[in-house]
Amino acid sequence: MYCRKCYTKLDPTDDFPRCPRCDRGFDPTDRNSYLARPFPGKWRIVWHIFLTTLVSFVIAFIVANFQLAQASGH
Amino acid sequence: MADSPPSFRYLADPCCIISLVIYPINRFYLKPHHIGGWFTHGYLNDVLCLPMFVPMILYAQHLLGLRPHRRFPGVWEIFQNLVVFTIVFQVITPRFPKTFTSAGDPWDILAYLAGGMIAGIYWSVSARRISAPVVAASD
Repeated sequence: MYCRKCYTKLDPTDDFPRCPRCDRGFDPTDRNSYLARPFPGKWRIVWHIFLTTLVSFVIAFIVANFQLAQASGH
Repeated sequence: MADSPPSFRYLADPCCIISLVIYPINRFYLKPHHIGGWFTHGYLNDVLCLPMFVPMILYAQHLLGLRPHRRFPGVWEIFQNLVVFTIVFQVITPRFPKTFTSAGDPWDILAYLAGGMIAGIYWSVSARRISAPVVAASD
């Protein structure tokens, strides 16, 4: 049982089940509130790839516009 | 601190700084004076592309919280940006010649790849060099 946010190992026997590292709460009876293994879920990986690729595209287009400004003498 | 990951310095990374120094030399001196022939005129900036922009892109991700750690760029991150730069500069911008000046050249992709491989090898060696004393100290 691992934290969904920081992947820290969780103790389900705690009276107030919270992650000791990031303080995120979880419910030992709710499988959606924790991870079964210390690895990001499929959708989190997809979302991360999408966001990082978006950042790369934005910077690449800024570079393309910079080249345009250089070429046009601005 | 035995589990501290290697510390990548993003914009202060030597590979990025060297590329930032070579780029204007090529842009404002070598190319106008036709020094270095076809390589400096057509491909040197493309070779510098990933060593220069991967640290910048990863720093932007770091500031946005998408890359909380300071590890050296991995193969995946270099490959991801190789694909993005190839799509932007070899597929998208050549289709809009009135808007962008970039002309598609398949050899540019090889130049991006060469720059990415050189930088990747440098970052891999740097990561090992920095993490080695930490491991030795923890023994």
